[in-house]
Amino acid sequence: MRYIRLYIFLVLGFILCTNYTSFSQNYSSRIAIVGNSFDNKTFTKKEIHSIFKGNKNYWDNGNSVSIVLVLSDEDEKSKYVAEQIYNKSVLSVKKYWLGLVFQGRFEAPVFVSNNEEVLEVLKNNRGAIGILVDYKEELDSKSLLNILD
Amino acid sequence: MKYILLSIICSISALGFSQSNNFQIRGFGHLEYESVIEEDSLFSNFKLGEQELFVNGKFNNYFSYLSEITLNYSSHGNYKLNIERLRIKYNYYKNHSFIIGKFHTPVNYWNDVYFHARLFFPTIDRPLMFSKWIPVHTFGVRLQGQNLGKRNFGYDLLIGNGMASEDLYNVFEESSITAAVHWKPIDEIRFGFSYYTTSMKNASSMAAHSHGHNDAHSGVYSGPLDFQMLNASVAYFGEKWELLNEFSYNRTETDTLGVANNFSNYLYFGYRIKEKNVPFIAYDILSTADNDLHTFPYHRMKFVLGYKHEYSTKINVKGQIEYYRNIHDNHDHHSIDSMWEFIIQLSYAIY
Repeated sequence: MRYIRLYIFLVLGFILCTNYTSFSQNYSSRIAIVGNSFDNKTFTKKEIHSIFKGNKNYWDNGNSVSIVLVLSDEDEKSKYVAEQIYNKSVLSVKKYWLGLVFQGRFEAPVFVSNNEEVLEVLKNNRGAIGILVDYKEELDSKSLLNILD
Repeated sequence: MKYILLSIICSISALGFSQSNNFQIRGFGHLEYESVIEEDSLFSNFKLGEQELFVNGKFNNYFSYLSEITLNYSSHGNYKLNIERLRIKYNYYKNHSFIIGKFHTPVNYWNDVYFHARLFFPTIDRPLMFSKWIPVHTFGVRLQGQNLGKRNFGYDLLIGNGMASEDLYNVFEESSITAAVHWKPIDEIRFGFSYYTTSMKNASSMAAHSHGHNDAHSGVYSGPLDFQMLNASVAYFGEKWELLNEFSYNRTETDTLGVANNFSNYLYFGYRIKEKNVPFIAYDILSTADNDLHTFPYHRMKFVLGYKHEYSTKINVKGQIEYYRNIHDNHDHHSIDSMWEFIIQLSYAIY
């Protein structure tokens, strides 16, 4: 079986923000952006935001971008991701994606319910990118890349 | 009956696709109640709105499919099935695509973003210009770019059928050209401009949506007509404030009455309270020249006061009070009586 490279990106810049709400502070240092077989480079925070908003169809290596998200209305982790990545509420992020898909501008993200499912989808999809919040397992240190603030 | 059967067959076919590939199916629809008060008369009706099937998916990394099929009530016991969009997209390089099929003509923000699902509409109705001259659909070929550069620049260039048909492009008979650009300096804002041109051999031969069928005129002009249109859109949909302005100007020219200049503007303001509630106001105006032979003289204003509540991303309810009146109170033969309307609409998505 062909070896699938798993790149792990830690978002360090997020902890610099000072105006988090109380629930946000619980996760501010435990967010990781992970992906499978995409461009081996350092991304800026702005680029990461842009990718997760569906502004990029392909990676430079030719793989199509596929987004994996955990988004639950009542989940504090989901609220944190919605706030940090999209600067919106969970409801607004869901509406944003429904609208974008309906316009035919981007394929719908793969919505899953926990970190393990994010990793499972990533393993099976080249070009997929997802977010882990409060992930407790050890991540592949060989594949760590920082995101510039 | 045959349309309903066809719809079921389409649904089952699409379901088959969805199970075997990464195709997805969604349903949209709405129900509506309206009361109209005009002079001394009042009438009300509760009706089934458009019900639609939305299918999209990818064949591979480069080719994707999208279709939007609606079922509309037409008369007692009868429904009309329409293919509103059906397109194959070839994403040939980064964010640049070549598209073939039937699509919404990207002349303004509304037509490029909302399509037929009322769930997304900020107000219950489309702007007045849609019932008079906006060519909602085009069947043809399209070059599209989106999210280019730091300002998220986008472009569309279309060549397709004119206004006489939406599903058949007589290549050497009647064509239209649409050129549109837009950019999003920040996520919530989009500015857009477009130019549309077509030459009609018979101005009375109009496809659905792109003409005001409700306002019957005697002696409809059936000669040739040149139509050119410019549109400008500004849209801002933030977490609190919402703003949409659609401006449209068109110039028609006939050998009979010469050049006519027509314009319309739709302005919407909304303010979101506690995430799910949006009180809003809107002002719509449409004015055509007296010598126009495409839309025919029409001078109308519409004031809207409304409220939207979103129960979830999949269902919302809107209530609206509308007041229509003429722009000028000169009581000429083009004048139409003032009118009040009260509408409640429940719109939803199933997926």
